[in-house]
This record gives sequence, structure tokens and C-alpha cells, in this order.
Amino acid sequence: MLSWLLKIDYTLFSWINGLAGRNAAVDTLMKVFCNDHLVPYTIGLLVLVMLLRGRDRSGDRANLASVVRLIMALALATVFMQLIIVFVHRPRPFVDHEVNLLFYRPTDWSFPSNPATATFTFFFSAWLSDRRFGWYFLPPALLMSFARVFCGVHYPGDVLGGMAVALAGAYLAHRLQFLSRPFVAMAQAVESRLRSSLSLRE
Amino acid sequence: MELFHEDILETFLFFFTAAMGVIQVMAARRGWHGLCLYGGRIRRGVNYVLGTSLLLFSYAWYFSDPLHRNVRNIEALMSMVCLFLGCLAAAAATALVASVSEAVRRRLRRRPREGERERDPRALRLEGVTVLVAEGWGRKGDNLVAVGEPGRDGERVARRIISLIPPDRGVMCVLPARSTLSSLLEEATPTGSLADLLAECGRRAGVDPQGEVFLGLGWGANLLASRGEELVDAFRPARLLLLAPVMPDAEKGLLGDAFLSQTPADILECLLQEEPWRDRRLRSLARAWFPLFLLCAVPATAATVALHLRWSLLSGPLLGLVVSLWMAYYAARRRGLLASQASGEPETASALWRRLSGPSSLPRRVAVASDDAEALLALYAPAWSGQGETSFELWNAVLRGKLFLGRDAEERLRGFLAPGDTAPRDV
Repeated sequence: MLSWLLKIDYTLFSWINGLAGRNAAVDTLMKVFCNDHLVPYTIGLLVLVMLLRGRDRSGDRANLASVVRLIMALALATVFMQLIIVFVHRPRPFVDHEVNLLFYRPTDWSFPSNPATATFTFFFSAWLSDRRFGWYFLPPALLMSFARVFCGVHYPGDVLGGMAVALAGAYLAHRLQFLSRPFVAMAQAVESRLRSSLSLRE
Repeated sequence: MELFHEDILETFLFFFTAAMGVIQVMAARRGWHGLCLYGGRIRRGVNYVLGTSLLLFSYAWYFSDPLHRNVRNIEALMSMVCLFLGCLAAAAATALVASVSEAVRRRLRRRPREGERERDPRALRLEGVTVLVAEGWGRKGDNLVAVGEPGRDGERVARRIISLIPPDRGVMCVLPARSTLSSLLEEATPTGSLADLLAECGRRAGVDPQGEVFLGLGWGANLLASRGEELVDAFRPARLLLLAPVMPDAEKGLLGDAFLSQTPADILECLLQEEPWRDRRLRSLARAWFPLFLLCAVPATAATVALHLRWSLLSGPLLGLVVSLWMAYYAARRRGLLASQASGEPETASALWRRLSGPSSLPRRVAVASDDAEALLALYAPAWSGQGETSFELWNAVLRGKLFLGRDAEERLRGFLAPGDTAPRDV
């Protein structure tokens, strides 16, 4: 079963990675999205937008809770990912196969994909909190995950594994609200106190 | 794991600049005039251009370096730390610049214009209250007895208002200290009632508040509105003018939003005046939390040191802090320390609304600043008409935190304070 899944995974990887090197413009674009910084940093700034985008005080309180849960989801997903890495040691595609490598050679294990875990945790957590704004996190997450396979540093299975870990982290952070409730309450209490400091000024 | 010190600094600077841009764009979108980097009122176009430029510059600068493209450098955890610290620093820098530029604007606006004569009131410092009295006391029914807000800025607003009153009208402005205002709002003060306080202030200042026009400023307006009947009994006021009272939302607390027009320094000053460290509930919470912190931080630090985790002496206590806060919340909830989240303000404000919307023997005029107006209209528009003797005005272009901003602000205030009904009205 496992070898069959790995075979399918490698076939998919070969198709996607086989597209690399055919068109210089596409290669450059994929390198841009594969970058360790661009997509994660943009998503990080998107969280700041999410925090400030409310229409009123109640909207802001809800967004504050969403951001606290998102941080909790990231922490949970990181713990899950580290646990998996203890047991699963899958080498990178370029170690075992001939690939079109458009990226530097990462030295850590391939499964699960770190960037997919991080970006999809942002997406799932944001989407679970805000069904409209959450969708903004999906295109960068998808593009980065696809680009990682295209550039030859991850198998599609690594990305799927990362997505599963992200979903688990985000779902649990939203489901087990007792984990985040104290921090949500503290953040909201501070916000409420600051905004109630009304006085007349020149 | 290798550390890329140079990249850490550059990544921090990237997030700092980009976050500054995001904050400026969002401040313009939300109309947060208190976060305006150049003081005064936000000009949306300027802020959008400024914010977008900062954002584009940060991306162009950071990614123009080949080290930030497809090269192994700064790791994920450090990027997250840079993101957090960069955003925090951007918020702090925005707060600082906005507060300083607004302070400069206020200082420049305070100078009287050429040909303008400033009325310089004498100040009496009594226990728990400051009284400003302008020279001269006019005809009965023309003079103003004002109750303002505590603090240095409350006094400045009062002085500016006094300077708007013509010299033939007398003004006595009572500025209670924070503790006095709180106890008066709670209707329990060891020194007596509001009427007693005003009578005593009048006696010390050598003026008689009987039958004069009473004016409340901000929280002072809340105080006068909630004591309308007491004032009628004691002084038979000619009229009651309430300028920018803090409006209630009976379900959610206060309607006003300090982020709209107060600068971060204004907010900080208000918080410090309240002396939150003296709050009994907060002290009980701190007492419950501290032993838990020690209980969590010591083993957490021991674990991080034993496991040779990076920055073990920082990450251990930090982990302990997070876990202890989590535990302290539930411990405090069990002990009932979190039962009442609300402060005294919302209840007081709700009482204000009930009193304002009810019948009264005292003619009242209420001006609401534009920061509160939108929310106020949404909530109370159906009950807007038929207020009896209370007339409401929504001052669309006037901000609570920047009351004297705008060319017609002073004119509008003069009209509001005039003996006749000459104020321009915006609804």
C-alpha cells in the first residue's frame, strides 16, 4: 500500500517537476513563489490586515480572537510536524532521483513540507474564523506549495502531509477553545480598556 | 543551526517598514485620526499613498538583495520572531510619531491669533478639585458654571472654552480630580453631593451658581446629566448644556471609540490617571498569577537548559509565562475574580442615556462629537425625536479627541455656548 502511494507520489512529482526548464518565464515565476520569504512574509502581513480590518468594535474583538487562535494553530501544527519528523525520515526528491532543481538544496527531511504546513495553517485558521477574508490566504499557499514541487524540493505527498497537519492544528485550535480562551480574554480586555479611554482634547 | 545576524536585522526592518505601511492604510480606511502621523485629521489620499509607498519600498528593498531569493538564510522561527517584533515596533513608532505631531499641532494652535484677547482665569486648587474662574460675573442667567474632565488636558480644554466666552459673561469651571469624578459618578462621595461641591466651589470663588447656565464637558457632561434633578433642586439652572457626553450602548458598554480621535499618548495618559495598579481586582489577579509563574517558569527553564534549546534562558521563562497566564485565567475564574469584566463606566453611561431620553423640567442641549455620531445614530435613531426638552446636535466635523480641530470648531462652540439659540446644527 505504502509503496503504491509512494509510486503515485513520484509519478505526480515527475509530471509537475517535468514542466520545469521548458519556459524561462514560468521558471522565474515559480522560483519567486518557491522563495522561503516572499509568500510567508506576505501572509504574515495579511494577518496584520486581518487584525485591523474590522468595521466596528465588535468586529475588532472577533478579529483579535481569530489572530490569537491562528497563533495557537501555528503552535499546534509546529508540534505535530516536529513529532512526525521524529518518526518519518523521507529524503528530498533530488537525493534519490534525477530532478530539475530550481532551488538550493535544503538539508532537512522532506515530509511533511514546512512551507505547506505553515501557509495552510494560516489559511485554514483564518478561514475557520472568517469565511470571507480567509480565502485571501489560499492562493499564496497553493502557489507556494505547487512551486515547491515544480522546483524539485518537495513531493506532492509532502505538501498533502503538510496540509493535513495544518488542518489538524487549525481545527483543534478552533475546536478546543479552552486552549485559546484565556489569551483571547486578555487581549480583548486590553483592547476594550484602551478604547474606553475617552476624554476631550484640544 | 547557523544564525544569519545581518539577515535578522534586515528581515526585522522589512517587517517594520511594511507594517508601518499596512497600519497607515488601515488607519485611513478606519478613520483613526488618533494615529495620523502628521497630526490633526487623516487625509485618506495622503495616507493611502504613504502606506502603499512604504509597503512597496519594503518589498523592493528586501527582495532586491539576491541573498533573499532562493538562498538558504534566516530560518522560519526567526522569521516569525522578526514578524512579531517588526509589527510591534511599527505600532510603537506610529504611536510615538502620531502623539508627538499631534502635541505639536495642539501647542501651535494654542497661541492666540493676532488681535485676539485671551481670557486668563485664576485657578483655585481645592482638595480633589480645581476651579478656574474668569474675571467678572455677568447678568443672572448669562454666566456659565462648567464641569470639566480631570487632568492637564481637561484643564487646557476648559481654558480654551473660557477664552471663547465674551468678557461680559462670567465663567466658573470646576475640574474634579479623577477620584472625585469617579466617586461623584458612583453617587457616593465622602465629601458630599455634586450640589454641595459646586456650592462650595462657588463660595470659594466668590460667585453664585444659582440660576446660571450649566455646562458639562465630556465625562463632566455625564455627571451633570445624571444629576439633573439634584441641580434643579439646588440651583434652578437656566439651561443645561452637555458637550460630548460619553454615550452608552446599554448592551455593549460605551459607544465612543478612543482609537478614532485620541492619540496613543492621550489614551496612555487616561490609563495612567486611573492608576490601574491600585485596582483591587487587578492586584488580586497579580497575586494569583505570580506564584503560578514561578511554579511554571522554573521547571520550564530547567527543561530548556537540560534539552539545550536555543536561548534557553529566554525561552524557558517565556514558556513559563504563557503557561502560567493560561492557568491563572482559569484559577481566577474559579475564584470569581473575573466575574465582573465591566468597569463602572458602562453602567454609568447607560444611566445617562435613560436620563437623557426621559422627561425633564430642565431645558437641555446635547452636542455629540462625530466620533460617536455614527454609532449613536445607528443605535438610537428611532428614539431621536420627541425628546421633550432635550435637543440633540450631531457635530459631524468635530472629533472628541481633537475638539478644536477645523476652522469652524471655535465658531460652533461659541454658538453652542451663546445665550440664544444660534448654534449651527448638523444632523
